[in-house]
Amino acid sequence: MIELARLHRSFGEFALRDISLRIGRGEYWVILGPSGCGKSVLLQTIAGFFTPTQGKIVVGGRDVTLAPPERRRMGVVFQQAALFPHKSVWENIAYGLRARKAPNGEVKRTVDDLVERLGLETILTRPVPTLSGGEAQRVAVARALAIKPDLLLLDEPMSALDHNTRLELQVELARVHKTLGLTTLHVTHSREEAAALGDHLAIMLAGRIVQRGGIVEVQGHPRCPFVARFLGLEASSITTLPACAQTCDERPGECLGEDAS
Amino acid sequence: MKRPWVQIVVVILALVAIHLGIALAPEPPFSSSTNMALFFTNLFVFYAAATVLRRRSSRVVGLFVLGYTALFLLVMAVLNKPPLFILLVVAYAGFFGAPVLLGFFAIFVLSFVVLQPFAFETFIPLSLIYAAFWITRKSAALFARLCLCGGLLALTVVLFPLIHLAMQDSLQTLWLTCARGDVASAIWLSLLTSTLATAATAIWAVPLAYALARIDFPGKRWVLSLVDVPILVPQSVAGVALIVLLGPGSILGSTLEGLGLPISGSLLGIVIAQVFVASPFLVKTAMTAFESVPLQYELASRSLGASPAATFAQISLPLASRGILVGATLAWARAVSEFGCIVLFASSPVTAPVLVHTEFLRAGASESRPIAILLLIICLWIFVMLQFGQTLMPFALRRPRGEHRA
Repeated sequence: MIELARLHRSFGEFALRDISLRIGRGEYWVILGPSGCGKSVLLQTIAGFFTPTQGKIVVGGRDVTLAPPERRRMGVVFQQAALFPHKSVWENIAYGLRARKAPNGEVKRTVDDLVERLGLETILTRPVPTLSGGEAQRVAVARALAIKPDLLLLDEPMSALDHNTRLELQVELARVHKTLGLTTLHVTHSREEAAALGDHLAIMLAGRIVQRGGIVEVQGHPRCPFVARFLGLEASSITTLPACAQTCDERPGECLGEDAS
Repeated sequence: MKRPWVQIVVVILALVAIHLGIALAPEPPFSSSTNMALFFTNLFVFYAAATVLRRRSSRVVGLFVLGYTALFLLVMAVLNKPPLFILLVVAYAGFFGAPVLLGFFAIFVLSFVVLQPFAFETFIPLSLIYAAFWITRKSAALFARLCLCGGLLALTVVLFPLIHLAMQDSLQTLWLTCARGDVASAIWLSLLTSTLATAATAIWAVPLAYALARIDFPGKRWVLSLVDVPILVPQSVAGVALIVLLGPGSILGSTLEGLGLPISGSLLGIVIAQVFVASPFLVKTAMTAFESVPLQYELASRSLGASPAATFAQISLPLASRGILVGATLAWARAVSEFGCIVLFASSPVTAPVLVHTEFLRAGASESRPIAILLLIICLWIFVMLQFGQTLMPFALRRPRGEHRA
């Protein structure tokens, strides 16, 4: 279980404010929000690339708020796959295990298993820089899975892919999540992706989480016109929150006040 | 051409008339045999032109005549060398059908007839530039090609003293010079100390470059300027500064000498001077190389469990190695070429640049020239080997693309 407790972090003008989230074991959370809402920064804060100025990140009862990324056991998949171009596909997947000084036998077993699971046999011999976006992203997923992460962090993993490849990778991710039961946090701005993959949903706006919960619940009861619009629902049928109309466009997110959600 | 036979007959008659006129002139400019040879040459040229230029526009024919006239004016009117003219004009007629060859022919004439004293050193670069112009005709716009060739031409002019120098001595002279004990040892010393200096620089410059590429801190701009100081400081100033600090009689110098580490007059002194002048090249180039490695690779490596040091060794250093090698090559080249600082601070043992200088003072340019040429050739060879050696690197290092755009 992963718990984010009132995370704060400012980056000049922008700030992550008061982010609280409880992710149960095996849940697939999608964080949905427009560009610039801070969802990627939140993911990178969880991964340990930034340290929060306030708040706590607890993973399985262990406080990792200030731990460096290498002590967190979180698998990160970036928008650009960020495979190491000077290593082979196999060595890319094995990288995390080698860094953790796993014995050779275990490395081989794990990597071969992942290669089979994600259907990478045909591209094993290809030089990494020649892989297509979809292939590279599948290798990146395998690389992140190899360390058996407590939490799999997907940072817009499909934004750089074309439509068909995106659909294929969605199926792949859904299958992997189902078979391995990995706790996953998936950041995206696409509601189709969210609907296809997630079982839980958090909507972000201007550095805050506006609404969160089970995906059916959030989709059924958007709490304000912004959420409804973002989910592609008819906004007019939603009860407007007090002060919502003035602030949503000019000072987005401020309608929530300090005691958000 | 409706009536080719008439035209041919007219031209042949005209040729006969011209050469008869020359032969019957009161003071014929050539002997009758030369005149005869010229007549048959012209006949051949006309025949070749008639074959090559059949069904060509009158503009091309005009060009042909223009080229012929230029050759005639140059070789006959100015230089007055009929045999050369015969040779060139026959080649000209043969090459006219192939514009590439014609270009090389024009360059050949320019180098070997007009610029005769500099024949080889103009012919080689000019034909390379022309080849570049020709090769790029399909891949680049005319403007870009003109920029390229104009720039290369200017570069040739800049480097011309060196090209000219390299042509000055025979291989035999060079070999004899090479066999001289003092020359050989000076060149070896130069190569050795520069390599040592580059290695000594790399040990601290590569980590510094990594830090400068990855960390932002107040005053970073000042540190970056500080790195460049050795480029700015005149070499003689650097030499004096090193003498004051480490020279004989200085506190540090005599202390080190007491410890059995003599600075001036030893290898160590040369290496110190070379490190001083060469370090900026390595730091700056390596820094650019590290900056070109996407930060995401390092973040990915860290999140997979590698420590910052392991990430540096596994990811950043290999991916930046190409740039670092370029920087090391530059630093090495700078170290070899260092003279001003060494001649003041560590003039013995004698390095090659210092030897060229002392030989020049002792016996003039002709004595120091072969040494200079040797040094030039050896350094160029190593420099080229290092540059081309990079193409031997693994695929991913050689061609960072695709993934690298992140």
